[in-house]
Amino acid sequence: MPKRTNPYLAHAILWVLGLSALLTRAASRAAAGANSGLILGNVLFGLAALVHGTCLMGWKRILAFFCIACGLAFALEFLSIGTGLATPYHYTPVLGPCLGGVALVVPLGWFSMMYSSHCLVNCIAEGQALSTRGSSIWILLLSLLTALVLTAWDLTLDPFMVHRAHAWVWDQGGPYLGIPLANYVNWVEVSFIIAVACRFTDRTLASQPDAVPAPSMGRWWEAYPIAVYALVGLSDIAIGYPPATRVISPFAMGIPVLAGLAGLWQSRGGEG
Amino acid sequence: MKTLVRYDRHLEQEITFHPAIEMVLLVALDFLLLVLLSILGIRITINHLPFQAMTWTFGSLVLVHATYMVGWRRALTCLGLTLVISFLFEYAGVRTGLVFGRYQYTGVLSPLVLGTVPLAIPMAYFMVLWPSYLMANYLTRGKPAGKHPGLLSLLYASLLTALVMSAWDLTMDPVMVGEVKAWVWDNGGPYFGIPFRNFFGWVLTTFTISTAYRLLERGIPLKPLGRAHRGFIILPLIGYASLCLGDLLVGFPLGTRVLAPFTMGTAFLATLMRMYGPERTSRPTFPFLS
Repeated sequence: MPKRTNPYLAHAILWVLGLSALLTRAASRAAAGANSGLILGNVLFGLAALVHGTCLMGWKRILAFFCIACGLAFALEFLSIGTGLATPYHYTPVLGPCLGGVALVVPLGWFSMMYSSHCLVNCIAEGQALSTRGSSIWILLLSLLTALVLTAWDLTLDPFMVHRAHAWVWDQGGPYLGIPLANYVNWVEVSFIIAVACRFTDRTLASQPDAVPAPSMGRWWEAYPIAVYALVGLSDIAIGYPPATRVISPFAMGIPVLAGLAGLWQSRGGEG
Repeated sequence: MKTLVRYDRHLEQEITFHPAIEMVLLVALDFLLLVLLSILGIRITINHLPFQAMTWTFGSLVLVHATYMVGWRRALTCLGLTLVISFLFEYAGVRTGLVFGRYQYTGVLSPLVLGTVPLAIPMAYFMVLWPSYLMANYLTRGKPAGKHPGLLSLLYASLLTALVMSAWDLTMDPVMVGEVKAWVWDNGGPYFGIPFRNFFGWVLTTFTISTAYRLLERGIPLKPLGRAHRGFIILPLIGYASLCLGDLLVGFPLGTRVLAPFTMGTAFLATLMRMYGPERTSRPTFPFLS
């Protein structure tokens, strides 16, 4: 697989998929209620992330990442809705078919954004989209940063999905623009658990004797997840809702984006 | 007094210093950090923000730190530029309403300079600018201080400095308006009673200060007064993190408590990982920022 990949074709497929996902998403958000657009955008994002991961780390590792992220996200959402351990919420029909109370597109969304955050954090901490440092403490720190970077997105996503898209409902409301503070504690926990599971599995798979190192696709390939994360954040500056959220993403998402891009293209010069 | 010469691997150059001066500065820093953390303790236990005491303590800590780390010429340049530029923006802002939106300082943070801007406010800019500057340097270049090779790279670091610093205001402004009542927004605003223009003004002000200092520092020699090590470099960052922790635990209104971990916390953790993470020495340069 790796040597036969045509980099131009791969780049074209990746950026077209990503761009159409963004446009679909933006159009459906601007229209506020075009549910099929919301779902289609999510599926396209997921596909683009799979294409990206296949070329970055090989199909086995990205498939494991996909299964763990989707599976754990579904299981944890299912548990928090089913057991009432988390602050009560429920999905409306806006996000399409549900299984056990969880909209099926939600775990896919977790995978896409988890994958983007994962690569972004690797760029910040190690200067490349693929982490190559294996110490357990380092992996835990990377997972913690991934959890913060991913949850930063929910600061603007959740208010929009609740008040504008009406995709889910918080039964008791809450102090942060109608959302309970516990939601963010739960997001950090869930994304930390998923990140830890993905990263430790990936470390095991990468150390298999038959694991062939993927050929480098170049820096623009590694920058793709950062671009997705940045554009998702930038769209909130224009169409975030309630309006209070519009000033949040430039800081919550802008700081990791600038740090990630700088890490990817960092140059070091001596003091003259 | 005997001087010593050592190679400093954080600044990547040889430095000349007096061990006695180094020791005095380190003791002063430790003392100021202790006072600063006690103030944080007061804030968390009795939920009262002694803003002035915090500002003068943190500001002194930052001044001593900067003097130790980059020499008194650069430190005083940074202090002077920050005080002057931030005062000018604040003064123009209060008088015209064009920078941050329409607002007035109350008498809570007295004394007011020229009856307009509290004396503590320019110092508050300085105390957070320095850690933001260090963090942006780590995140863009992997080291705490030094020249940026090109203008674009310098502006990029300034933008990151401005975001890291202004992130503080997302949680500080609501507290200072709603709880401390240090200033009043004439027409309110959509973000917890604060106008959007305020955040635009913050990024503009801090970007201007950072760019001005980064341009001037190119012409001033980097002459530290002591050896840098990570436990020392991190001191102002601990002050920055303590602001984040305060807003997480006793932020006001309640809704703002979820913000600081994802704005200031992310910046802090990312910097720690750059400080203590793997060395990256042979990276190609930015294709568009060199």
